[in-house]
Amino acid sequence: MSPRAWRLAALLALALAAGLVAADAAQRVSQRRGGGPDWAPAEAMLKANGDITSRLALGEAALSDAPAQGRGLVLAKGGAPLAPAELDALASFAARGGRVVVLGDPDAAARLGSGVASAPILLAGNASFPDAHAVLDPRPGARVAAWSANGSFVDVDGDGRATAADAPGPFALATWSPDGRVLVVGSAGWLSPDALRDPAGAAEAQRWLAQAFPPGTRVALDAAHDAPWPAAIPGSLQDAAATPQLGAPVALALAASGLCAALGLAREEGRAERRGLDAPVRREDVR
Amino acid sequence: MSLTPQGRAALVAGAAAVGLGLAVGSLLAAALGASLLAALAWALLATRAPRARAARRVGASIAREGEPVQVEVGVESLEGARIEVEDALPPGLEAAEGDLIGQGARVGLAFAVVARVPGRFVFRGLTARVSDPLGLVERTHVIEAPGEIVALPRVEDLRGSLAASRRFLPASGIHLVGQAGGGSDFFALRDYQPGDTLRDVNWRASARTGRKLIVSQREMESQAEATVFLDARGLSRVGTVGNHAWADELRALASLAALLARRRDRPVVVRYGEGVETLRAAPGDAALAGVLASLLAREPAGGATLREAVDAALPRLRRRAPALVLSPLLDDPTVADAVAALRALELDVVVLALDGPAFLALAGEPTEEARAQRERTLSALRAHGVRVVDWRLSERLALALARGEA
Repeated sequence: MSPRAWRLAALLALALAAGLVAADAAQRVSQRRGGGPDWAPAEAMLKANGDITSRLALGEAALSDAPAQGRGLVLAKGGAPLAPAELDALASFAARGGRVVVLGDPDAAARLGSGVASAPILLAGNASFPDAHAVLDPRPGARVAAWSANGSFVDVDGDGRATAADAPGPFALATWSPDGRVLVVGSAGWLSPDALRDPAGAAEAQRWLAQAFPPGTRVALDAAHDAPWPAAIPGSLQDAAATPQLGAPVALALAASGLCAALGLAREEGRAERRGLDAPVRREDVR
Repeated sequence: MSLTPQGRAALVAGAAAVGLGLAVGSLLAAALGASLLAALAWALLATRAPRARAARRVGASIAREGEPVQVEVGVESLEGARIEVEDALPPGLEAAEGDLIGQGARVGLAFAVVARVPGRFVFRGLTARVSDPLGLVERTHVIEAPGEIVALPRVEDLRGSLAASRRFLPASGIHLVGQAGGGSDFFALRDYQPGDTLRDVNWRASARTGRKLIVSQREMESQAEATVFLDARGLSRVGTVGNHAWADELRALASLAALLARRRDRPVVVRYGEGVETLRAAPGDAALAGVLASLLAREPAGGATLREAVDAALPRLRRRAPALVLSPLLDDPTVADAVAALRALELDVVVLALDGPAFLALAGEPTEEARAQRERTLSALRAHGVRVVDWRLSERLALALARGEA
């Protein structure tokens, strides 16, 4: 293979590698901030159920004067807490007959008559709830949709082990409101792509969504509070995602070096220095 | 062995990718950096020094400056590996056409070079390079391919300014020395001796004697020696590679050679710098080719002064003979004394003073002190009754001669 072909191959390899690194970096950035949750799997499920989906801000979805009957809202815990006006609108939407699914947002759950614990459940035993928190709906008629494992516990003392000081499970992971129109899930990542990768979890989610939103419901996915899905990824990578993202500069540096290598832009630099006719000859040169 | 710019970029990028990959926990970036470093290590280990042989053919070993000379170089890789070959021109030579770089297992370079200054240009060798397929590492080797070009100085046609030059340049020309010998003028009569040619028989005088043959003797002619003191000190090369006083001195000598020959003055060149050396032209070498070749064989060097040169030449100098000094007059405090010594012998002295400070300026050196010194020297020379030609930088010699006469 000629040197030119080698260099072209090197260019392609480096460009591919740089692209992969850039994509990796972009994903990390997306997970850390910006981009919002990936609603695509949930949308697919809702469409499969015959619902009409759209991504709207909570204000557009719930504050409008349109009748709430036949409409639904999926709200995941976002980066910014809901404003009081938004919470009022949400309560009004539910009171007017709207259907709501709340994912891990304690403020929204509380406004809708339910509650989400602040401390996570350890050893929840259900892969569909990557960041499981206990849910409590004290109202009569409320139903628990899913439970955590028997050995699960809330690590009150923070030592990572089940001790007498900790609250022992099982805990409710999701509850239906007494009227069946509000589903509170104690996991903000319940509909995340990672959680839905488990077939059993995906089937369960589809069933619950079908139950929450009868066919033909116009469901809005809240796009205003667009923090990424909470960690459904290993802790080490979660830590890495919290560090400054340097993947893009690395990718750029690699791409630049690949271009240099392939095109040989600086080839002339290595040439032996040529002494031109205008090169000065000074006194010290001739002594 | 050295890293190419691409190799350096790969080293930096690889190290950075590994470091940052580890820092941010990106296995992909770390692996990519490691693969770059591995490629670099492979290139370092696998790239061997090139082995090749070369031959050079120079179209003309002697040429005039400005004339193109064809050069051909053949290079063959001993291992059959692909190599890149680059020929290096000696300073002062320029490539007129052709390419000095070639690639392959067998490389043929053909190009023309032009000397921009008179001199002896020696080709040293070619640089052969081998690099790995990715161009990360490069090994170089110098292949001997000797060759030489002697570029004689260009000759300025001074015929147009001959009238002014004739009046200005000192010359004794042919003169009779009052002895019988080869010549054209009648000197005396004498009896015929065996060996005399019949052409020399004076038939009229022989008839008057009636018994013996008388031959006409002719008066011996002699040529005057015009001594040219040539400044070949290292300082004569100050300026630029393509423009220095030494080149102008040689051009002036070559141009004046024809003029001196026309005047039947026999030039004797006294070169001073690395000691003092006297060079005489071979009989019939009116163009001073032999003298010029000797002058070009050595670069100007040393610091011998004009006074030392004059002292060395004094024993053979004749009274009233012409003398010419060619010098940029840089850093030589003995010039005035030396010329005074020549004048004491009643020599007809002309100083062709090149503009030394201007050459200093070309080299980017300060000139104020040198210019003040030059003015003092020129004033002293004129005070000694010496004719001075102030030859400005890049000025035609004919113009300088005409201006000096004016």
